[in-house]
Amino acid sequence: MTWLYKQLISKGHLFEKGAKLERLYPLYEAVLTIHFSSTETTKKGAHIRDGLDTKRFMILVVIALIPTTLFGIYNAGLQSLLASGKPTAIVDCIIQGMIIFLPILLTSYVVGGCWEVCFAIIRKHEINEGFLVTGLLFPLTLPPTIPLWQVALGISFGIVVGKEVFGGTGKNFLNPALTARAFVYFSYPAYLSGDVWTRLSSPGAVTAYTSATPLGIAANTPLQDSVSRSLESAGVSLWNSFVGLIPGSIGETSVLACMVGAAILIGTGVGSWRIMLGCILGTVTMAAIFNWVATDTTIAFLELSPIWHLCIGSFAFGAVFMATDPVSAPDLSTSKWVYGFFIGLLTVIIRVINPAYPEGVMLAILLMNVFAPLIDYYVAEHRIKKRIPNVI
Amino acid sequence: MPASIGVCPKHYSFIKSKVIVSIGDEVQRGQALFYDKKNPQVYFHSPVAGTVSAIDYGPQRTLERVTMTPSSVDQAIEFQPVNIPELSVSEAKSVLLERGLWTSFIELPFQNIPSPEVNPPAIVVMLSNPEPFHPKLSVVNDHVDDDLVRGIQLLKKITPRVIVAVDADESLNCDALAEIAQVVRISGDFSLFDPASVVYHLKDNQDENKTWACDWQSCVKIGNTIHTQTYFNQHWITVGGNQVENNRHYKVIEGTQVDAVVTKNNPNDRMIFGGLFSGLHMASEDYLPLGVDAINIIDSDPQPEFMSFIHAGLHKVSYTRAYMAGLLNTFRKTPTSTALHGSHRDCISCGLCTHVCPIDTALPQHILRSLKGNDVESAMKYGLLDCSSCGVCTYVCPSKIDLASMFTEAKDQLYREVNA
Repeated sequence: MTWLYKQLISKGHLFEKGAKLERLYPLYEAVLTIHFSSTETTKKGAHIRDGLDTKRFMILVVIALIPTTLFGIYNAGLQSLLASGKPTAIVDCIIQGMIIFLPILLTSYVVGGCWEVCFAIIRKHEINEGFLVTGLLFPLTLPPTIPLWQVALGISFGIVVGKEVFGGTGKNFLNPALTARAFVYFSYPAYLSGDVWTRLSSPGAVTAYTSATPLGIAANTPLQDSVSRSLESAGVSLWNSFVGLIPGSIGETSVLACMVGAAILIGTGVGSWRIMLGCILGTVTMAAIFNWVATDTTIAFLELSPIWHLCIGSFAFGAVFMATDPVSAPDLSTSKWVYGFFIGLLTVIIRVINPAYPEGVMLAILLMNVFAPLIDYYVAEHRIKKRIPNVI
Repeated sequence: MPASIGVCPKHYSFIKSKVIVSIGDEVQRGQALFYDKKNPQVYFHSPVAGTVSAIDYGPQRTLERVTMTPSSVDQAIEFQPVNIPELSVSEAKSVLLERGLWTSFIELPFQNIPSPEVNPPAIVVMLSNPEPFHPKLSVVNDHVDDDLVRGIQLLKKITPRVIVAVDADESLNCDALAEIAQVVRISGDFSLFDPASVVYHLKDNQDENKTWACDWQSCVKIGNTIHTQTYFNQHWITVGGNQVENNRHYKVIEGTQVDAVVTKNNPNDRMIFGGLFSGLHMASEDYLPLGVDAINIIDSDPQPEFMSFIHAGLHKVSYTRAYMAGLLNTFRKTPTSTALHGSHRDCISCGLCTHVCPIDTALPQHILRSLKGNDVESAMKYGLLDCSSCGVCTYVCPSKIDLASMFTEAKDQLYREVNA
C-alpha cells in the first residue's frame, strides 16, 4: 500500500495549479482520497476535527442499501425464473438476478460518473461522493426490463438537471435519483407505470411479459370489491409484499430489507428517524381518513387498510432512502416531522385519488423536496421568535 | 526571570496602537508602553522592569511587538492607595485606566476592548474554563482569595450587576463571592462556558447584549494591583496536549516567551494558544498573550490510511455514531491530532452544527447561507452576534466547513463598518 501511496503522491505535481494536467485535478483528488485518507491538517478554526466526513456519510448509506440490493438481485432472478417456468434454486436466482441487475447498475455508474467528472472538471469542484449513492439508488427504483439506453438517459437527466446545473451535491433542491426516475417515468410510461415487466430468462420470440403491479391492481379494483381480496387473488399476499417476493422494481419490493437499511441509517445517525416516522404517520393518518369516508359507492381503493399501504409499492424504499437525503430534505428537526408527515399524506392521496399515476411515493417526495425550504423558513421564523434579538 | 518579555498589540482585537517608548528606554513595572489611538485613555503597561530592546512593526507600519530585556532589579511604579467602597463609577474607571487594567475587559458581541465612556449593563466573570487543559482555580488556590474578592468589588463599582460563572463541578466554595455578586453554576459541555453563551442564557433584554466579560485571572490582577499598589504580573497557565510529557499548571510572568516555558519535541507538532477548539496557532518564539491560559501541543502529522471510510473505525473519534468507536466508546485512547479527517465539500445540510450549537436558538447553517449570500441582516436574525466562537460547529462539520471562523470574520467586518 505504501508503494501505491507513493506512486499517487509522486504524480501529484502534474495536477497542481499551473501544471500540465491542472484541469484534471478533481479526478486526481477523487482517486487519491478514495484510496487513502487525507493527510491534510486544519489551517484555521478548530484545531481538531471530527472523524466523520462526507465519504463516510455516503458510504454508510451505500452499506444500508446492501440488504435491499442483494434481495433485489435475488428477487429479480426469482421472478424471471418463475415466469419462465424454470427451477428456482437460490444460486440460479442470484445468477439470473445478476445478469439482469449488473448491466443496469454499471450503466448508471458509468454514465452518471462521466457526467460527474465532466462537471467537476469544467466547474472546478471536487467530485462528490454523493454520486455513489445516487448511482445505486436509481437502478434500484427501475423495473428489471428497463432498456439500458433509458437508464443512461435517466441518470444523465438526474445528475445534470437534478443536481449539477444548480452547482452539484449540496446545492440541489431535488433528490437526483428521484429526478432521474421521474424523467424516465414520464418519458417512457409504458415501461414503468402500473404494469411491471418480468424478464424471461431464455431468449426467444417473447422476451418479457407484463403483469399489473399491486398498485395497478388496487387502482383498477371495481366498485364494491375489496382491494385486499383482489390483491390476494392476484397472488400478492400481505406477507409476500412485506418480504418482497413479488414482481416489481428491483430494489423496492421488500419492506423487510428496507427496515434493515433503516436500522443501519438510524443506528449510525446518518438517516433521520424523524422523517421516516413522519412518513409512516402521514400514511397511516391519510389511509385511516380514507377508510373512514369510504362507502359502497366510492372507489374500492379508499378502503385499503393503512398496513397494506405501508407494504405495497415503493413506500418503504422511498421513506427510508429517498426522503432522508439530507440535501433535499429540510434542515431543522421540527421541519423534518412536517416534511415526513406530508410525504406520507401525499403518497396515499396520489395513490388513491389519482388513478393515472398509481405510484405516489416518488411524486410525493419530489413535491415535498420543493416545499422543504418553505417549511424550514417557517420553522426557523418560529424558532427565532423565542429569542431576544441581538442585532445592530 | 525570563530573558525576554514581549507585549503584542495583535493579541487585542481592533486596537490601533501608538508606541510611547523608544528602543533603549529604561521602563519600570507598570509603566505604559503604548496606547490605543481609538481610545486614547487605554494604555498597555509593561509587566516587568527592564530595557526596551526592540520595537517591531508589521505591514503598513502597524505595531507588532514591544520587546523588553528584564533587569535584575524589579523596580515598579507605585500607584496611589485606593479605598474601594468609597469610589464612584468614574473614579473606579480611572483607577483601572491608570493602572493598565482596562485591557482585562472585552465587550460583547465583538470582543473588543470597551470604551471607558460606556457603562456596561453587566460584567460576566468567568471563574472556570472547562475546555480541555485549562487552569482550574481550585488547583491553584484552595479558597477564594482576597484579591479575587477585591477585584470583583471594584467591578461592582462600575456596574450594579456582576455575574460570576462557575463550573458546577468546580469544588471551590464560592460563598464569599455570592455575597457580592450573582454566582451562576453551569453544568454541561465546555462550549456553554464562553461569556457570550453565559450572557445569551441569562439576558432579559436587548441592552445586555453589550455585556462586558473578564476572566478570573484578570480579576485577581485587578485585586492584587490595587492591594499592593504595584502592577501585578503573574499569570497561571497550563501546558497540555498529547505531545507534552507532563501536563501541568505553571505560574509565569505576563508576556513571557513561549520557549521559556515549553519547547516542542517534534517539529511537526502544533502549538496552540488556548483551547483545541478556539485557540490560536503559535510558534515557540511568540510571547504569551494576556487572557490566554493554556498552551496545547498536539500531533500534527497525520498518516494516510487505506480506505479509512469503510473501516469499522474502533479508534475514530466522532461526535456521531458513524464509526464503531461511537457505539462502543473505544476512542478514549486515540491521540489528538490536527488531521482534517476528510476533504472540503459543500454543505450537505446534515444539521449537526445546529444540533451542537450552545446557543439553542441560533441556526449556524442558516447563518452560513446568509453570509454566503452577503445578507448580514438575516445572519444577525439567525443569531450571528450571539455566536460565542466556541468552534464546535467547525469541529463536527462532515464537509469540513470552518463555520466558526467565517462567523468571526463576519463579526469583525461588521464591527469595523459600525465603528469606521
